[in-house]
Amino acid sequence: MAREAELNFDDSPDAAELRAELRRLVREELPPEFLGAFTDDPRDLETAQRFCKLLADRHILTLAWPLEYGGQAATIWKQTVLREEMWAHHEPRGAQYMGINWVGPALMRFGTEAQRSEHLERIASGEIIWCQGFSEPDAGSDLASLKTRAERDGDGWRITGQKIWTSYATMADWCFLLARTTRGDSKHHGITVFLVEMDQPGVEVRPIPTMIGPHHLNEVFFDEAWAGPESVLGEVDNGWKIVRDALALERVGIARYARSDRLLNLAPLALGEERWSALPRDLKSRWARALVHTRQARLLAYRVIALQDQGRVDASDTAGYRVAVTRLDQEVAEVLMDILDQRAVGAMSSGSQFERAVEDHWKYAQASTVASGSIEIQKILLSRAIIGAK
Amino acid sequence: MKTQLEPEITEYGEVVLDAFRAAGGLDLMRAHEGGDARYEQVEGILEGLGVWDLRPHEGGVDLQAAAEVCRAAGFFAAPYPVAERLSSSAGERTACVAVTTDDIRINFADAPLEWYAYDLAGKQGKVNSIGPSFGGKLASSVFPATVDDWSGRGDPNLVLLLQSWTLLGMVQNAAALTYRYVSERKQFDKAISAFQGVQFQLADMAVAIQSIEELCKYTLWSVEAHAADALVDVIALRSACLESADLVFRGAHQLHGAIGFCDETDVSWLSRYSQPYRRLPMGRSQTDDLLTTLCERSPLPGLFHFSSVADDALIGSR
Repeated sequence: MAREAELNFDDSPDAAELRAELRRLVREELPPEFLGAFTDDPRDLETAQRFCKLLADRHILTLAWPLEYGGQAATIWKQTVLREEMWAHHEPRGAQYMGINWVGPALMRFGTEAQRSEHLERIASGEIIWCQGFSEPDAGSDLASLKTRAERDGDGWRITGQKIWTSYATMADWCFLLARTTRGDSKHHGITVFLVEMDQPGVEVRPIPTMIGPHHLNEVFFDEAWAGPESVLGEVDNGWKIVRDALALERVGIARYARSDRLLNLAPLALGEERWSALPRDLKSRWARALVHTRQARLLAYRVIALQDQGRVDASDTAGYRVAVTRLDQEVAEVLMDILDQRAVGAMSSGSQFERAVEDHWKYAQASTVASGSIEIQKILLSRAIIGAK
Repeated sequence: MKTQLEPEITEYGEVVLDAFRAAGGLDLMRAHEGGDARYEQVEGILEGLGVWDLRPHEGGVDLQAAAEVCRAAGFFAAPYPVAERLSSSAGERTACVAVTTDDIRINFADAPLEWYAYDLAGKQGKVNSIGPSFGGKLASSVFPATVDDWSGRGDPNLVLLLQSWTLLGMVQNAAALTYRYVSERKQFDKAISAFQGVQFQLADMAVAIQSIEELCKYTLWSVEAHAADALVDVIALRSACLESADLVFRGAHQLHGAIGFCDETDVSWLSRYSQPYRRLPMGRSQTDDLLTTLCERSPLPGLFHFSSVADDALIGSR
């Protein structure tokens, strides 16, 4: 059998080249104290916007997009490298990944020519920020029970209702909004996707203070906000299909395992030999097992990606990966905080970037089994897929 | 990046599974334990499929095919030291095990083969005596053995790797039997798979299996690609397989209820005959302890490998 029949888990040469380029950019362009765009220091947001421009100029921001929209039509494995390197280094794309990863592709698939020309170039340049108007106070995991409504007004629509947990809403220029346009027998029918401008009367954003930091969670109130006829994406009442397809583009989502990989590998070096050797044996063992679990989560991502590359979708593999990687996030968070011992409280004010990164990771990890579909929903999807296959 | 086995390799694995299924599946083990030894039958089945012509030491597709054969053997707890024979480089009709203490215990040691033992430092010895079976429900296929002369050299990685593939097959079948059982078993007028508490357990089992399926393939590649550091990869795989086996067999027993302990169910046999693979040559805690020692020397290769904090793009430049 030919050599190409052999397994290979190394980056291909072009993927390795991209990884090296991204690490160089991170090293040269991000300040050493960078812990992500959304901190109390507004300079971090500016850093992220600047970094996005750098990526956009190199067509790396839209790596996955087709050439006609300013992308590189890169392989799915190069896209994976981008996700891994960005998340490992505290996501210096800030809020941009949402526009790039699924709003843009959804516009390419379902948008009119006018919608594409209005939005795609601006997303590709890293200039504008999108937020996602999905969840509502009474529509979380059961998203289809949303109540925000859009009513006809002349040739457009008036939108009224409340969204919640809306990330980046304070800075967003546009909202990818779900609203009910018809009440029918089926919860899934009668929902429409609107592309709504945020800067207008009738849209009010109230930040929700959180342990993770600013900009992550907001409430957004719509009080007869205006959406023109050009703002409907796809067909009126058939928005649920778009949402399902758009979220399918996010099958792998955040490469959470990459940050775990980096921080676990840094731990012994950051602590230094003396502190490391004084750690309890049991804790070192948890650290070693977390390294194995990190490798397993990465391989589960690659399992989903390989299937996606072949145009196959397996709900059980996707859900399995999500369960594993979100649990990993929390396991690694606890191991790293234990490794810091007492220094885990007060880490943010320490001079050690590693210690600050650990606290930051722990705070983020609390949300990982809740965000993008709770772990309970993922487990139910997974078990249904298993039993359905019997 | 190529993370999937070629279709012809997985089809070969299916052919081996079908051959075991046609021969009675777990009934082979039932007969074997009952005193009707089935070594010759299993050896013949595999002979007919060309298994003994594979050269897994040479890596590549032969190693992948050997791994699939071991998975199939594990799926039906086939009474034969398949992984141990495929791993031996000592010659025709030989088999090998990895050992960690002088108290050497070998599964299926009474098979008509010459046995060799490798310690984890790479010393090799020929087994010169095999005692009577330990017997009982968990060890009727396990025998004490002694080695006097440790003057040879040999590599324990391959047998540890292929034993993990055997355990993967066992765990996959235990889960498959459980998925089927919970779909058929009705309580309160519905299949018990409709209960969310059951669904959560099934999901955990499925994740545990998917995780080791991928790691098994990765380690097939890494023992060749990182041959010098292969032991840490092989031990990492064993650690993961033991963790998954604990979770899956616990779930399988719990969800089968009382019937799962009965000799009439296959899951009971798989559970019992997984024990030698889970305890020999070391149990889970001992495996994790070794993993810790090896990782402290050099963390498991992943996306990041630093020789100092200065290697890191953000932390190092502070």
